[in-house]
Amino acid sequence: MSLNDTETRLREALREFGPMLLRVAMSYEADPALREDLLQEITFSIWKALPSFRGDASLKTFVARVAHNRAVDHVMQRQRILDRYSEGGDPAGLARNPSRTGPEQHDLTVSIRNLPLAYRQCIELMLEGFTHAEIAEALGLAENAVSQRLVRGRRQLKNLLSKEDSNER
Amino acid sequence: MNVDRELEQWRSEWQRRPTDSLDIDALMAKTRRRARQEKFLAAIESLSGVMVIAACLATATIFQLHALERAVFIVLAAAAGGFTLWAFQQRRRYWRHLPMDAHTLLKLERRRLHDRLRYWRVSVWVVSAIWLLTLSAAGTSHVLEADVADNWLASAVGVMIVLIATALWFIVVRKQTRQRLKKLEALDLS
Repeated sequence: MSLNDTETRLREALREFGPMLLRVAMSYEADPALREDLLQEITFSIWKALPSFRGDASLKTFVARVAHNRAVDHVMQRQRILDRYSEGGDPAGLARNPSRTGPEQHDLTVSIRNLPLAYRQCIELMLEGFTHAEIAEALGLAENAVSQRLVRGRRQLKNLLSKEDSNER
Repeated sequence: MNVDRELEQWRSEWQRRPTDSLDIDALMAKTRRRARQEKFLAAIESLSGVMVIAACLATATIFQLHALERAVFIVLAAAAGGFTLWAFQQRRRYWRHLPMDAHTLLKLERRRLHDRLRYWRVSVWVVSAIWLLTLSAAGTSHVLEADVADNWLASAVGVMIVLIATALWFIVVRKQTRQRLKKLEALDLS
């Protein structure tokens, strides 16, 4: 694939799946500035990965897979950066903590961000409209593992949303 | 047909998230710039490798050297060549499109940390071995009252400084790695 082909396909992918990519970034990063950086990183990762796209899965699955791989890496990188400045801290909270953003308007986004990484990936893909088989293909999991994670993830998401509701009242 | 109302509600709410901040032209421009930077860095890296190989080979062939010294420069050229190739391959290797879930990615990161720790542990052992060899060479040449005894002693002192620095760095890396592994475990379990 030539450089121009890659650029054209990336532009098409962004036009078609840009909103999905933005939502992926939203589900991993609460800070708007860092979220923008993450979206840029995801875009660059897709640009680098596109020449290896063989059409085995749909382009949407391929793009979502690259985006999630990059986003999980972002969570680990953020942990590395914070490690340099502080000793200790709650690592699980790091992946979830929305405190840097101030008040958050979207309960569903915050709740998704509070899910464990393994559940978050499956739930986010499910909300994007992926089937169980497509999620399994994107994440390299067996379908029954996806189903199990979705059941548990949905249960946790429901609890988180109901907690948010009771906090508001 | 059984409609999952809860899922439909979440799905429509999720897909209604505002996406006004999406600027495709800006993303494309930044990606192009980043790609150019990567290419430039790769070119600089390869060029530096070629220059080091050329310098080693030139030194080995042009200057009047002892056979052992010449062999050292040829080995250095081969090592630099190997490293340049390895770095080039690493740049080309791309894994982000491979199907991996969060557990697998965290496992890879844990393996990377263990490898880093192993690398520095082996480095301490290798430098220790070199130091012991240099020290025994210094001792032997001192006993034999050879001319090079002082050179060996100076080398032993030099290697000892490197050994102390490597050991101290290993301690820092080990502490960092243990902390990071603990945190990764928490991420995986969370």
